[in-house]
Amino acid sequence: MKHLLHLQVITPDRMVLDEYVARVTLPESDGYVTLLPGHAALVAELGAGELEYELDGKPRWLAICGGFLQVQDDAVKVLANSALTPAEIDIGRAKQAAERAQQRLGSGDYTIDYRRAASALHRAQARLTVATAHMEH
Amino acid sequence: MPSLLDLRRRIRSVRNTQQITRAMKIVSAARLRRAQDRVIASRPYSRGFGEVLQQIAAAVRGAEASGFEHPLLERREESRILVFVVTSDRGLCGAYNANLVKSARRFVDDKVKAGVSVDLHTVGRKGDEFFRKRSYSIRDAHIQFLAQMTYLQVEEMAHQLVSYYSEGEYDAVYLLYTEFRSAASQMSTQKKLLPVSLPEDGEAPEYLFDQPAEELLASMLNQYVVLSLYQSLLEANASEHGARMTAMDSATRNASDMIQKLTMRLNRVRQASITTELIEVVSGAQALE
Repeated sequence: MKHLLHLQVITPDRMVLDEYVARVTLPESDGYVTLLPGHAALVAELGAGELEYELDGKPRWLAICGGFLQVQDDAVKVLANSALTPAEIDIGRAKQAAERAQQRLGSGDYTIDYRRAASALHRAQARLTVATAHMEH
Repeated sequence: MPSLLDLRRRIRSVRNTQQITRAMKIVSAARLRRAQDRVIASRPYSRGFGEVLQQIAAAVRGAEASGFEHPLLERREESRILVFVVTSDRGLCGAYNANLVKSARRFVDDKVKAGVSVDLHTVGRKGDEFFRKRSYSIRDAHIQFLAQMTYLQVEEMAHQLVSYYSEGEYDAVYLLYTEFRSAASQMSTQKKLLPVSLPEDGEAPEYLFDQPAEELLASMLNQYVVLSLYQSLLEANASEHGARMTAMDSATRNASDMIQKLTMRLNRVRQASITTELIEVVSGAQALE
């Protein structure tokens, strides 16, 4: 049997993905990492971005945001706050959210919650990238 | 003795009520299933999360004997607390709200007697009305929230609580809700949301960390608060529908019993009136002879 990673992407409201994959690339809080079978046990915090995995030789994508990653014995658990497939992303809404966040960040108003606005912007951008670049045909 | 007409009217009215309770029972059964599905769907996440949290906590504890400190773990003398009370928006769900409100009130009154100042945060209209009428201090209220709740909304709510707590506005946050056991059995429960108590046991496997374990634990703690709030609210929601379904089921059954009793009386009255009439005819005929 080929050596594979058991990838599970779980959000608080559902199990998004439960597959055996050849590799997975995902955004940690400070940059992307690629995991291959045989990876050492790892725990990390996730950022917002695109999660790419290879299933049956073909790459696939999810837009994920926030949460934690656990790797142990070739089992990769992605505990994300949200995870959407390209088909599920509402491009219009993501665009609006990105604009809103940008306005808030650029408003010069110091009372805004900077971290929240920035993470909203990242989330929206991640969704847009995934939706526009990898729309399933 | 009630007249035939009165009895017929009453039977019709009970039958109408029964139709309503039966319809409500069916609706609650459907909602209960959906609510239960949501509870079940959230389990893989909380299981995975709990496992990671336990391991990280163990790793942090193992790394330094001095002990890890974090604002959310810090236990303070309780002088001001916030109590979250989760009830339903609508009635007709048996003793669901009454039970919860009763235990909530006891809890709050005990705290007040001990000299603690208590603010309430109500979720659900029933509890809100109850405590407002009795002029308890209500900090915040969420009405019409449970049915449409999303994880993101709960996250916001939890972050608000965390900031109250870490700014020292409250020394503890309690959650009073109804735990879901089965459709027929629910339990009023209280849970301490803040400060967080970490799982005690657990061993730490050899992990690679891309960031210090302490930092990781800190952000997990925040997430932990969100998650326990989310789960409790989901359970409360399922409990509500379970309680309503059971209540409506027994209401429907009671209505059946009542219809049966009334029909029996109706028949008896009708029989009695026939008998009287017969006697009258017979005795009239006898008088003529």
